Amino acid sequence: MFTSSIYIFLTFLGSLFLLIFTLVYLYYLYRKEREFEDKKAQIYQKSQEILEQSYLQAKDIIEEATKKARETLSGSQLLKEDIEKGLADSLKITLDKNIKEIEQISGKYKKSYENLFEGMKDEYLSRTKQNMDNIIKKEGTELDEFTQVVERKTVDTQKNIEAKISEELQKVHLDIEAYKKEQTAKIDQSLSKIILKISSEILPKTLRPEDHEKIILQALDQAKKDGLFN
Amino acid sequence: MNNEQINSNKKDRYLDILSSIKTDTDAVQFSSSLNKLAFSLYETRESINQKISRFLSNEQKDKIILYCKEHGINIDDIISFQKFISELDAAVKNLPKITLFLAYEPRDESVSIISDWFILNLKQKILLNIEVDKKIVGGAVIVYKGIYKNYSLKNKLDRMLSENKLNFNYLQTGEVNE
Repeated sequence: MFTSSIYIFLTFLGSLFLLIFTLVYLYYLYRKEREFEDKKAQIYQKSQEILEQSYLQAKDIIEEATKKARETLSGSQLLKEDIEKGLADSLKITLDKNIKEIEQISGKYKKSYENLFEGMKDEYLSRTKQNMDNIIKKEGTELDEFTQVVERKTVDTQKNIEAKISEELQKVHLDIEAYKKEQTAKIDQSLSKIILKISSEILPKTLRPEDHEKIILQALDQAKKDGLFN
Repeated sequence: MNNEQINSNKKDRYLDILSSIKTDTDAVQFSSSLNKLAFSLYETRESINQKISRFLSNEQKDKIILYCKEHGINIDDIISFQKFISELDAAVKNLPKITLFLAYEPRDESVSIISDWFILNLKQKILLNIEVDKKIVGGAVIVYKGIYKNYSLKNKLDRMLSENKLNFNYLQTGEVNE
């Protein structure tokens, strides 16, 4: 009895000890879990802060860079305008100068050409006059003969042309006549066909028995005249 | 008198009896009726008069009886009447024939008019063999004793057109000249 009671007591103590140990271990696990969660939250918060800071810094840098770029651009535009203006001015000056020079040169050339042409013209006129005088003197007698030949030739040519035209006209007339005949024949042929077709289609419908009889008797009379019944 | 003249005289004699026979079809039917009549002559059930009525039309019967009376043929004498019938049949079979191509199906009146033309103009009976050919438009194509003659309107038109008898000057003048 006593032994049994001791055994039960020892078992109770052992169980109690086991229970306490288990509870302590669970609590330890719980603490560890909390610490881990806290650390995780801290790390996340830290990373967020870093990201935000980085964003702000980047924004500042971009703004600064944009500002700088704008300043640079406006500076270069002014520079460009200055350069363009300067270039235009210098071009204008150069151009004016060149025009003036060209005008001077062309004036000179013009004058010398005018002189040259005047001289050539005078010389040509004088030579032509001389030649004409020579021709008149030398061939004065042959001129009448030449005129006659020309007149004769002209008349001959005119006659030839007239004959040729007449011949061509006749040809054209003949062609037209032949064409007309051909076309008329074609029309005749077509009309013949049409008339025959119409006759073949319409006459049988329009002829009454009396008409048929009359035509048949005419045919018989004709056959008798032709000696068919002899 | 040669055989042809004798036959011709006989045909003329029978002209009145044969007046109702106008076409070769009529002739074939009439000939068949005469043959039947000839075969029936020796039957005793009917009189000859009744037998004639059985096989021929009233008009034909009257004409035959009249003819027999006029020519002294006794219809009750079987032998003489039979001889008459066979002569009549031979006359029918010997009738000349003519083939006519017409553009229309002729009515009975037309057939009579054409048949009468031959009697009036040729003084003889000619059997008509009528064929219908609408393509000929009008008139007639005649075949007689092996000779062919085209008197059709179609032929006439063809000839006129081919010989340029139709002048198409109306294209310019508005008139048609033939």
